[in-house]
Amino acid sequence: MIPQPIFAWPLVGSQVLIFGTAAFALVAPRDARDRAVSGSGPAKLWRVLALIVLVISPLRLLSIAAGMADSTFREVIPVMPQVMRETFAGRVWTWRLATALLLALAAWIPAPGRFATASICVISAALLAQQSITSHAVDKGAFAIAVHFAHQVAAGLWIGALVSLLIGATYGHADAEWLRAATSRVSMIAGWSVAALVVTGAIRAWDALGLQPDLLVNSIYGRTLLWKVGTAAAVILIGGYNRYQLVGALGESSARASLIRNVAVECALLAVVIGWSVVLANTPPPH
Amino acid sequence: MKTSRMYIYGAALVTIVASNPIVAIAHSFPEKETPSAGQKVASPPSEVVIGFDAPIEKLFAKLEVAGADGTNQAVGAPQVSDDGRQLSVKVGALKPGDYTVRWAVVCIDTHHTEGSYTFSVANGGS
Repeated sequence: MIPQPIFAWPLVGSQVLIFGTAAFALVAPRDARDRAVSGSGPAKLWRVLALIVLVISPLRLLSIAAGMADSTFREVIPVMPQVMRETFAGRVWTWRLATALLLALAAWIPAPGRFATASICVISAALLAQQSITSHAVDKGAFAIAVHFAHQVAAGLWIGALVSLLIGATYGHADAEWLRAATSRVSMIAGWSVAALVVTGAIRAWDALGLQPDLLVNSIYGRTLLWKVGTAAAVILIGGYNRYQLVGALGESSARASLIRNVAVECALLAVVIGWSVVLANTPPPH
Repeated sequence: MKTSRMYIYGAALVTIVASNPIVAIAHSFPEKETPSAGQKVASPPSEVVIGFDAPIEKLFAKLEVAGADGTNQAVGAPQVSDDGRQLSVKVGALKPGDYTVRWAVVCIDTHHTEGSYTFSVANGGS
């Protein structure tokens, strides 16, 4: 059987990234939008990500169904119609596959820039909502699903802002003034996103049994969680260094190069954080 | 310096919050069994019922009641209540002895859990 994270990681990562970069394109200042959104860079990114979502979604559904039936891909194919009809996940995934197709159409069919960006943002947000509906949160009801969704949105905005900054700086041949303005905006979005992640994380924690620190080291789940949180904390620290040490010195080319390199490292680390999240979502919790 | 320190405190707070046991938010596990685990019942039950802490999928629910010789004593297919939180199966006339209940379910969050427990029927029960 193929491990669940193999399909889940690119799928979740693509959904979060396409939402975040589209949202940044809508809220970024005009000059930042011109750099980060105009041209072929983001449009190409969205097309590739939408294609990944479209191709991986059916495979992810098959892997989920195989996991539910405790069988292989080949064995589960004949029962897929029954899974789609008779299970909660199957019914949600019917909508999810349709939404993935819609996202691909929005990304690939030429449309006026801002309308296309807004469409991609809304459709990818719908995918995140559907992801929340089929997550662990569904066990706890509507409020938990809403919190899970908010958590994903916050993560998407954070990652999307950083990736947009990287695209703008790399492909937009940004000058120091643009970098300073864009970094300031990205910092603001990152700050609010991290705050939202803390709040939604706190609510999810409150919803759980309470503090059981021993499980953090005595279970695979706990240890994976520590790795995830450690990686996220490293991103926050790098972001803080960028904001308070490098932005003030962007007139120097070495500071600009350092900033771009650090943002690239942050993006890579956040991809790792998504990977840890996917592993956690597929690890039985110590109950 | 002050803002840098705030960042460090913020990172520490994220660490603490995210480390809280989200571990308990997942999967379906039994909350109550009838007969309960380890119970010695005076009269044989007509069915075995397990209540779960989260809804389960009927399509993948399995429940069997094995006697000492390993024979499944369940009669008919397992049933899942409308709210998805209760799994039950009728059993034949159980003779005195030990029985092992084996269950396997899929939570509506798509994750699989399984387990087993035993109960016994006292002498003179059937």
